[in-house]
Amino acid sequence: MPAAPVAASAEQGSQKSVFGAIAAIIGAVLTALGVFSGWVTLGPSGNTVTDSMWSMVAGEGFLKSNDPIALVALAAGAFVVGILLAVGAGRTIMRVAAALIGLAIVVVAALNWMSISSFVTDNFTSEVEVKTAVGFYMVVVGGILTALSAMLPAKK
Amino acid sequence: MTSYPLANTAALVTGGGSGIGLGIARRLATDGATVTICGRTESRLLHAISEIGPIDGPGSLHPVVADVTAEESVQAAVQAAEQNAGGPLSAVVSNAGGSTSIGPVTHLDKQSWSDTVALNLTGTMLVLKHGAASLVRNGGGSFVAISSTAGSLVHPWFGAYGPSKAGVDQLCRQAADELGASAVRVNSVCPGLIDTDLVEFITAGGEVLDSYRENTPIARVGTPTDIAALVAFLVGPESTWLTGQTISVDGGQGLRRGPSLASVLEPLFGEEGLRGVVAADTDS
Repeated sequence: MPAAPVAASAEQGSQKSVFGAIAAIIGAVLTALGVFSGWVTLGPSGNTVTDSMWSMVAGEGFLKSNDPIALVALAAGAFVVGILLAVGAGRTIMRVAAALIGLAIVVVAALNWMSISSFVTDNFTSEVEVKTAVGFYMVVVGGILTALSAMLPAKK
Repeated sequence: MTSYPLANTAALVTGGGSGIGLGIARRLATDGATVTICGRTESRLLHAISEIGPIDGPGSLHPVVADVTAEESVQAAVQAAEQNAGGPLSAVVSNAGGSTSIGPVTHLDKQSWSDTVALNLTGTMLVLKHGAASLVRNGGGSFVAISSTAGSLVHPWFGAYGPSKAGVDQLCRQAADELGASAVRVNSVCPGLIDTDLVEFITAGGEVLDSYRENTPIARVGTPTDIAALVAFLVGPESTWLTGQTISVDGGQGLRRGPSLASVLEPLFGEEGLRGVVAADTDS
């Protein structure tokens, strides 16, 4: 019967993924919180300062970046994907979107961190150290959770 | 009819893969010179040449990978440039430079200092040593070092950068005196703030850029073409009695003072750190 696979596919497309939705929404929240938490700790020992990623939007010099805006937008996207996974709309498309958004979150975070780290290493005296702060890890975990949400099973 | 004032000029430009060096290479080649650009990263050199694209007239661009802090590498680059041009060089532009030592003097470390001096001063010396030998073989020519306003104008917290550029200026004066008898002219060019990737952290905006503008009568950020225009003049036929000079292209910044990096450095070193206070456990 040729109609059977089409019906099965349509049914799969409307399946709700509660676990996927939870993972994507937690990923979105973690990413958003991470952007507003400490991102990078800079300074010679005894005089360190921790800046949030969001402060880079209006930041000075090498800490000026639009990456936080991109991450907030990606977090919003992950949240929407989570909601749609919960209601079971366009599951296949939402799974692809979740994977891409999660990957993008991790890549943007890593590139931002690498640019700061290499700038400090290349320009400042070696007394200036650059370290990741808690927000960085929150964003990376948020991105991974969002990507993982694509792989979690739908409700049978 | 288009004229090419630098036709038959064989040139080497170090650090020619980006920023000011790329601007100079582009200008010399479009003026007709056979230009060899050298840098540490081959892909960057190739990208630079493709970015410039086809050159009208007799000018051409050739890449050679070289590290100006290694003498054998510099020697090989000069030889490669001679091969590209089919004879000795008539112009050498020592542009490669940078800094790894931004911070208060009481926080300077020996390695960062040495690396900066090696790149700016020792690198220029090596390019001068081997490049000028080729200019002498040519029967004369022009050596141009890209220095900085920081070589003569105090730039607080710039670490070894200013002192090393001051050394470049003095090296050029010394060489100009020695090499004048061989018709080799030696001059240094001192750019102010130029719009390049190296200083994007400043030109992107903020208090440091504001400080530059406040201290620059013609209050804009310079471009590589501003520097390239002077270098083309110094390399060309209209400056044959000009040697031993240190010339600023800085919008007049040299009339006032260097910028303040305080807004960037104070969060890192603290207000006390900027005036030289060092915590006991870091005083090594």
